[in-house]
Amino acid sequence: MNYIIELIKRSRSLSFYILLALIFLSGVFSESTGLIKEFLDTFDDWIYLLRQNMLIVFTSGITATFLGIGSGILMSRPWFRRYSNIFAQGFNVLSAVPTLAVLALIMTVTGIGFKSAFIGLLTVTILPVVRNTYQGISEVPEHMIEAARGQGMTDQQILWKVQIPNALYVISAGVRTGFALNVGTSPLITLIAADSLGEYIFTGIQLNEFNSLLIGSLSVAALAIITDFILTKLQFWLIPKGVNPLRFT
Amino acid sequence: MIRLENLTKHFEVPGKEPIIAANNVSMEVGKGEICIFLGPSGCGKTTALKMINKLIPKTSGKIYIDGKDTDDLDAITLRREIGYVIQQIGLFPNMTIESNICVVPDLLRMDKKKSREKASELMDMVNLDPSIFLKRYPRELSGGQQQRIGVIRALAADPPVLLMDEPFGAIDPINRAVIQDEFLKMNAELGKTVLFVSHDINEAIKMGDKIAIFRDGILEQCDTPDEILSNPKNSFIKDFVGTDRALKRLTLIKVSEAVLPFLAAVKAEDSLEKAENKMRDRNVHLAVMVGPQGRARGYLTREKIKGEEGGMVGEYISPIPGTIHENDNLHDAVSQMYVHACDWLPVVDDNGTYKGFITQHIIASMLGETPRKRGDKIT
Amino acid sequence: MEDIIRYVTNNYPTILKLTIEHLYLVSISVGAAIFSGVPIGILITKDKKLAEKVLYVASVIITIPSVAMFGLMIPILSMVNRGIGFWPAAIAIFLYSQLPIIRNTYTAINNIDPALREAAKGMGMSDWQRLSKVEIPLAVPVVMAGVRMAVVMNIAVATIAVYIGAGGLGTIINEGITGTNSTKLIVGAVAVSLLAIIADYLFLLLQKILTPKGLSEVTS
Repeated sequence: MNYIIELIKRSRSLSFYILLALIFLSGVFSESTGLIKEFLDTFDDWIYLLRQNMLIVFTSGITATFLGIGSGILMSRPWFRRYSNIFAQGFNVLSAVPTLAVLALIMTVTGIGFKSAFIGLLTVTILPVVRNTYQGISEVPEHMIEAARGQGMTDQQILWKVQIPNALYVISAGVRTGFALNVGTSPLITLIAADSLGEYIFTGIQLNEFNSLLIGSLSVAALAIITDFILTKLQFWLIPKGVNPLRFT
Repeated sequence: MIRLENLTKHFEVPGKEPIIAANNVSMEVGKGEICIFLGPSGCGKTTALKMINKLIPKTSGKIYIDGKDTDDLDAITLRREIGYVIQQIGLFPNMTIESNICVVPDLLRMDKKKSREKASELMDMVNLDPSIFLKRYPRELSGGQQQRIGVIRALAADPPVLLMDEPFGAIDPINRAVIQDEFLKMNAELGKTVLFVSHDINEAIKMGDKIAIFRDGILEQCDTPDEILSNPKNSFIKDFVGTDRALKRLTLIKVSEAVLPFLAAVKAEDSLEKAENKMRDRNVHLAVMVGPQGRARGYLTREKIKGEEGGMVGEYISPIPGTIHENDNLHDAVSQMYVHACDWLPVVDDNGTYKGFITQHIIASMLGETPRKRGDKIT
Repeated sequence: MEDIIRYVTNNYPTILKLTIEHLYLVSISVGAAIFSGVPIGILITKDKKLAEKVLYVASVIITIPSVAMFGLMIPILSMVNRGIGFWPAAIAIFLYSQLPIIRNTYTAINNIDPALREAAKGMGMSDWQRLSKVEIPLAVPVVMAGVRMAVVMNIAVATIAVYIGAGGLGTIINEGITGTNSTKLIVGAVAVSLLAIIADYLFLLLQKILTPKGLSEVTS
């Protein structure tokens, strides 16, 4: 077993050459199959679909984030305590619902098009945000709240100065999960007649057109990875040092 | 300064008799005093404490601070005027040490610059370097350091009263002793009125000007530590303070209070006759020989020189068994005597100068006087 | 509502068949993922650097949306004539399951109290005995939590797999979308949601059963 570990550890330079070879091969491959030509030919479409895809992800994601954090805060308020457990359970159950099912159910209510897609993506994103906000706030230790109350903070001050700042990291994790689900679901909105990069993929599947399939898949994968990368960086830098486990030394 | 009148708390339990966590508690704590609320767990000491800053609403009774009825103050205002320290420390992880200390001053909208200066001053008092620690976050500090910050956070807005709920309970014994000493020293300077919950009798004896012992919501006895140890009011308190209560009292008395002052000091060149006369006059059985700097060099006893004639002190001297510092307590002194297997010790000051000696006989007779005089400074 | 009941009563053999197809796809793939993920998770506890790399790769994989994963899989698997159908879906689910299973195995073993390890060593257990008698039993509930996550997530992935011809309950939803048939949309969505929720619950139960009695308080 130790021998294998050693081998993997030493493989850094090896994997670098493999990577170079892969890039070279994929270049040859894409040239020979006409992938690059196809991409250049449909470049305007690509830009348009990418922009639409980013637009709907961004707008629905941001809306869901604000709505989700707001509802999570409301759920944690003392006057809501009586029901919050039921709600939290409900959100847990709902987050098991597959995203395609969410889109399908929304389509039965609002039909097809941008509006349904927007509501669908918003629903998918909001669940983890609400759940994490509520969980983050209610997990702030009781003694810390007692200390705050003992210093003479009002309930409002305890919420804004103690509970929310200490829940920020958990909330941000919820936002990341929400956006990941959002980006992951966004190609599917093509199915309910909203514009997204999914168009390349579904057309590719139907027409057995590998180039279109690859362009769509690679773009969607890149969009997802870049979105998550940006959110990770934001999480690292925006969450204050004292409550950010990523920055603990 | 703080007066509790018939303070009572009933916790309602659905379907059962209410639990009486505080039953007609009445007591008074003077300005600048440290009063320890002591008792086994569930005795109501913490409830009594938390009713004072209204973290637990009282059922009936009155609480006066500085003559003012706290019913007339709203909870928020009241709490900002009372420092509060808890066992779990409760520093806010999202704030730097500086913002943690300045929480109450900022809530009160005090001048930022002044409160920051004050924070630095307070940190100096607990031996934490402000230039290192102010910008750090709580998790970057050890438990002992965090609790020091917890204590000075409670002091930052200069409240006249401090409530402490087992503040040093979670700190390891060595650090606890240090932080207790620091706190005593600091409060000797600041003169806050402190109510302090503890379940540790030794901590209570060390820290308290007064100890209030609770059982089942009833205040059993509230007195000076010495009075409680020498005159426990009932068998519960007797058991609670422990069978070694006489020994515990020793920690309350300083060597300097029991010392036989500069008695029977002789010099090496004195004649035996002179030494013997000195001892007879003062009615003691030994004399300590001091050197030119006033240090204790050795001793001789009356028995040893009996029948000897015409010699000098220096020829008959025995080496001293050890010394004890005048600021140590009698507990330390007795312990030293056992270490050196002797029944007396010379007492010295910071410079090592001989101040007198202390004997087991004196210690025993001091414990016999009840109540002791030292209690006089506390009423 | 009546439409829905009528649809279900008329088509329950089909629904049942699709449900079994769905479960078959998910259980085969996640099952295979357990056999690869757990050993990898245990292996990387030996080396922190390696663990970071492996977990990073697995987390990048899980970030790739399922539709894109299928799209990448089709051209590659076409070379061996398995472009659409069961295989691309199964491989995608297998890959997605790696992160939760590897990560949970890794953290479970890493979080075992060093004192326990010390005690086991002190009693003269060999490396293998320690792993099989102490570390794995203690890690099982946490690993199961990872499996549960993988199962719930991949029931959703398998729904989408209908578009690459892997069948499953997504079939009904797809028919509903293409025919704008509300009945089919609702039946499909509810069926697959129930499947996910029930699986989630059953795995939670399993997780509790597999937790050693002495630990049940701690991990709940």
